[in-house]
Amino acid sequence: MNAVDAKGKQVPLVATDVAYKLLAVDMGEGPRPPPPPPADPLLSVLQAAYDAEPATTTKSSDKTQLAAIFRALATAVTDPVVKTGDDNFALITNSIQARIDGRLKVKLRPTIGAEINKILPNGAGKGTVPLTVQDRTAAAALYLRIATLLDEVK
Amino acid sequence: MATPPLGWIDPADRTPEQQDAHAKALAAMPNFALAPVQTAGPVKVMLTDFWKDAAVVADVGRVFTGFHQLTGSCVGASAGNAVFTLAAIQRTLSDNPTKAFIPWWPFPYGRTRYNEGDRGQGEGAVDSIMGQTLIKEGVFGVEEIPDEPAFDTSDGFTLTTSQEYAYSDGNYSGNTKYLPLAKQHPVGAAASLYTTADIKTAILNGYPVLDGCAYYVGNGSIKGSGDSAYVAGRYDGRGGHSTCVLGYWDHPNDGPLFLYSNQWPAGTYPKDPAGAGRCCVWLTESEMAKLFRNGGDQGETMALSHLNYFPAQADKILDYTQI
Repeated sequence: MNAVDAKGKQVPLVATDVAYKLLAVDMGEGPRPPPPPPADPLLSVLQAAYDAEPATTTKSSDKTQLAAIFRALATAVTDPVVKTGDDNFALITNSIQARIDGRLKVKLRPTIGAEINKILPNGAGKGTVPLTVQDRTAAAALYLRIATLLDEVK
Repeated sequence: MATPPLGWIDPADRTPEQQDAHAKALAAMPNFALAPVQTAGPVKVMLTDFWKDAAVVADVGRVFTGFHQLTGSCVGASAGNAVFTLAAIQRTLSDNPTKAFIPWWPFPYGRTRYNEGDRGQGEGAVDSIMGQTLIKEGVFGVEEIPDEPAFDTSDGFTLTTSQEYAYSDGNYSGNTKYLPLAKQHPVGAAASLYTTADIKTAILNGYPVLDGCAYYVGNGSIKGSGDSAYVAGRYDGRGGHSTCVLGYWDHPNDGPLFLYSNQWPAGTYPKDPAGAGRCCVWLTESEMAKLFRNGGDQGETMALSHLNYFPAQADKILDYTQI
């Protein structure tokens, strides 16, 4: 590939990578930007759950609050004071109740809870089971993912 | 082997007060009347297995390994093992489960001694009167009395010698102050047994058996090999002793076996390859029958049932969809 100098003469392109790329773009060549990653499948699940929530004057702001709650929980769950499943459950419910109380509880919160059930011990007698480091790490990642996706839910 | 701590008072050695109290206890005891259990084939039931059930462990917060007596308190310690077994069975098998608890055995022990006319600290008691004391005065769990001494659990659940003596006085304030509490948790029935068939039926119905005998099983040895191996024992020691029978096994070679549960150090018998717990040994039916020819009849062997205790809480379900 050549470039054109000030006098209109073709010259070999020996530019920096940045210049090369700029020129290539300008000339309609070069690597295409990577396709956007496929949407997280959980996004459509959360969207459907959010859509199923009854319309209220605070529905949108409640969703924003819920995202912020889970963003904060992603850090809080790694605290060693959260020893057991019961501790984790209380941490979540206390955080939610403090900010959105009983709202978004028809479908969205149960849907999120079902996702948590997939990765953390749950069921009869599991509340007193200590959380492992792996449990906390997995929970933190999921909470952050939920927060990010809730931001994308329209 | 030095004589281990015993404590069951042989009928021939009882005071007039003890004889009178025993006669009254015996008169109040129903005979065991359940029909024999028809089983489809050979069975092996160890009621001590229920000591380790997850719900039982969750209720009491630890694994109960059996009481260990240091003085002549066998009637108290064995009754404690029987009551714990009953509590564990009710927790796991009952249609209306009750909370499992570790009984504070010094209370019914001291009160039994008091009810048979013994005053002050001492050793020894009578099983029939223990049965009636459990019914009339009740029992309670250690978690209900957090200020009382804790058990050393290094070899069974053990108190110190001085503690056992202190509570052996039924009129000791450390006992009498709990009379109202214990009254809330009476044992419903103590039915007297007279045959090995009665013992088998009691065990297969989930009822622990408390017994007193003029002989004790002082030794055990492993018999057989593989899946049929077990620790066998026999009444080889002379001395009044109260223990429990907490298991039954249709052994493929040796016929009916009965699980004799003692309250001595773990090393008293070899570890049972058949899975019995701490300080347990199996007796053949002919050996078990000696119980009833050596003082274990006339209300000194009984099946305990219908313990009144707090309803068990259903297992709480952790479900994040409820957030």
